[in-house]
Amino acid sequence: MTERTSARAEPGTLREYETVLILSPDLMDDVVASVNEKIAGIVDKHAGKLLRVEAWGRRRLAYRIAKHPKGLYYYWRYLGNNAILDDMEHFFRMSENVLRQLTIVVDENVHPDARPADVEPESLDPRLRAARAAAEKAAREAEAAKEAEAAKEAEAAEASAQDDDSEAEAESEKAVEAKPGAESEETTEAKPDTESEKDEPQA
Amino acid sequence: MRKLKRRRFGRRKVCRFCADKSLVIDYKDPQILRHFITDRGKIVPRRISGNCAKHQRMLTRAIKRARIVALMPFTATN
Repeated sequence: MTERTSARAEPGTLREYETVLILSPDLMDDVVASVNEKIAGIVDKHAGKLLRVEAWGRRRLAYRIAKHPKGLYYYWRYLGNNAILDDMEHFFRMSENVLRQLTIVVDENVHPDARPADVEPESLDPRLRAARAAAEKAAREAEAAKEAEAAKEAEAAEASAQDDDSEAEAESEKAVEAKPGAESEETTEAKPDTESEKDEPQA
Repeated sequence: MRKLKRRRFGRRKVCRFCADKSLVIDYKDPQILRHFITDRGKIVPRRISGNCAKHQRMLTRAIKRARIVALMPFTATN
């Protein structure tokens, strides 16, 4: 492909582009990821630089596009020479997943170092975000299970104490204590500090 | 036939963007833009909105772009 050069462009500088993409909302995560990869590849191919990618997620469209009331929005900011748009637009037009795009020039004659790259890999690949969310949820559930276990153990050890108030107090204390994933021993140990003198200190 | 002599509008409204420099016009943020379209989705003329020429032009450009990316409607006849 012949290099297009603009008379205005100073050598060694690039233009700053901004593209808003609307993808079909029913796409599977891996399809979205492959589309994003393709776009990133185009930027690389033209010695461009990806500045920022934002995944705005599914939004309600102001009007139906391709019969869809919602769309998957992606926002790209990148540097490239003026030939990069040929490939970009070609890809967008050919792709059946890209419903609409709008590209504007934000700045010209930008030196690549002047703009720091700020791309989170999660925004390019929605599967990563899903994986992280699942991992966080699993961690939370594990903690909750641990807490429930500790509560049961403490209640069994507390069989002697018939004081309702102290039990409630111990529960709330445990909830605060168990936050950093504390062992059950720690929680039962903390109780005697606030407990009444009825109990013997737990080992 | 004589045209009715109409009074010029007395109150000079201030351009909202000139007054408050922090308000930035961006086609990606329809919240601000929404103030400047009618209930039918038409762009409010400068006469009514009180914007200065420069900002009205920026506003128009932004609204038209927002319409393309479906962040704002072309017409709102629902």
